[in-house]
Amino acid sequence: MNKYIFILYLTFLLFLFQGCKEKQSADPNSIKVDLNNRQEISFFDIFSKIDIISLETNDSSLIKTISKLIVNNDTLYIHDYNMSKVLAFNKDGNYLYQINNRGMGPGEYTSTSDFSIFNDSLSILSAIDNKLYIYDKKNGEFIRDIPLPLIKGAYKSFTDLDDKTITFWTYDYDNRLKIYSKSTSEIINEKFPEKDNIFTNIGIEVFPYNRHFIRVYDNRVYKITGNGEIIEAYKWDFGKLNNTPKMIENAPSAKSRDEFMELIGRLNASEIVNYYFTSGGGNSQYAYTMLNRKNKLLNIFHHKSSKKTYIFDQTLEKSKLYPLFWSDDYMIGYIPPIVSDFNEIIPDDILDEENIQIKRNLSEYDNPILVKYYFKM
Amino acid sequence: MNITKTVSLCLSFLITISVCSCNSGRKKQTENENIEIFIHNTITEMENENMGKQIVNTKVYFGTDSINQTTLHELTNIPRLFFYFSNNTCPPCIDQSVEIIKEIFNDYESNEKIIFISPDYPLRYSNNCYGKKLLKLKNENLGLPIEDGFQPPFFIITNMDMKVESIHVVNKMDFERTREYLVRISEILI
Repeated sequence: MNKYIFILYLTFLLFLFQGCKEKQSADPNSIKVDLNNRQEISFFDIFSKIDIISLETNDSSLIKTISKLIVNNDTLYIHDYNMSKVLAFNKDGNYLYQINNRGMGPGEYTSTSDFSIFNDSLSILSAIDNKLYIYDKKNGEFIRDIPLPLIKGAYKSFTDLDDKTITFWTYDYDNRLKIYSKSTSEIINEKFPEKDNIFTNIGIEVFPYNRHFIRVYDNRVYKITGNGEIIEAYKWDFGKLNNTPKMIENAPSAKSRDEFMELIGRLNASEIVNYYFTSGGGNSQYAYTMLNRKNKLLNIFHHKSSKKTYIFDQTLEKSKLYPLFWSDDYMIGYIPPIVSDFNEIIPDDILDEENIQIKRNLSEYDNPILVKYYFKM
Repeated sequence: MNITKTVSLCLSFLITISVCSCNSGRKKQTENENIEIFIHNTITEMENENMGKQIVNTKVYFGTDSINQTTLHELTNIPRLFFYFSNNTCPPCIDQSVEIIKEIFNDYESNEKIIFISPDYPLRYSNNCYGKKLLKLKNENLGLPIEDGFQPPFFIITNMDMKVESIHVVNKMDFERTREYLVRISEILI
């Protein structure tokens, strides 16, 4: 009798477990992706056309590296973190102005950490000065500076949520995310503790688009609500290849630069975790991520309405992508310094005649090249 | 008696707390000092390792003017201050070094005795990098041990045999040392 009760009990547990598993896999916020199922994706499966934007190159408009791009009212605003400046170009790439106010005088900053555009203002964060510097986005004229509350660690990046609040990402590992009230000039909420390890030292655009928020090691993509709450917008599900909590928990930290470079090598080879995220994006049509797995950068485009998912490191036409900015109709990427051959990003097969001519005139002495990808509607 | 005992206990407690705080502050100060000493020693080692080394003679040109080439040997026939930095060097280190150069050599942009070298700065900066044309090396490096691995910015002066006669590696924790070095060098370069 006891034996039968025991068997009944085990059977019950089995059903319970199966039920939970099925419930998990039916999670509507979960985007299932098979990372081993690489497809042959044509550029034209996702995009209808492409435009090359050659940014004007002269002594005033030189860009060392593009750290961030924001497009606002057809103006391209570029943060050159290395040179601590923000440059503005029109949609054709003609230079408009730059904000390069390094110094110790009024309106001058020691260095720039991040920038944002909201309404008519362009705000620059200087972590060293612990301030926001506000400029007129039309002409780069200085308006005022805003001292920020002192926090543990330093501010790193930010995004304007709305008229009333700003979200900051910081080096305070007890609460990395801080919600700041513009009216009271105070931190009104803080959350998201993190362990300081190799992941937290990998650069990633934490706020890739439209109130969304991502982490290098986390499958979840978060959204920040109007009242500063963090909710899970969706999550990537790679099945058996999902990084386990133990992998993340046990991730090492580097004590020196050499050790850091060695760990990065191992991370890229998927020796510490199965993958890590390098970029995020999205719009009303797509959820997007780029991740590093076994020394390859994989693009994952998930089409929300058809539920189709495209996974590739390069398209059939041998084109790679490095997205910087997302909007509903288009995405803008660039040709990063590590890519020496333009054909890796803009092969002739994906260009029309006009853009082939533009490409022929490009030179290694030019500013970094931007590429505008129009989504198929 | 009891009051005296209580007061003594409180006093002892307060003294203990004060001593512990001082020690903890001193410990942090000691840790910071240790880091500074470590960096200073590492930089001194780098300088010693590269002192007296011969740089490689190679064809060179300024900016994008590849038609008007010369050799590094020709440039070292008189004392010149070479300021070397990599694309991977921390930008504030380069910025601050250039600020000090500007302070001491206010004609540095046109001064032919001051030469900026970077083997890997983006080509678009070739004709205007902090106000100067970059010296382009055919060999892409000087052949000095300091160019391997982690590259802080550094200054060198060579003799006519192209051997390093003076070298200063920038320490971002001690820019005053860089200022003192450049003040001494300004007297040689005049």
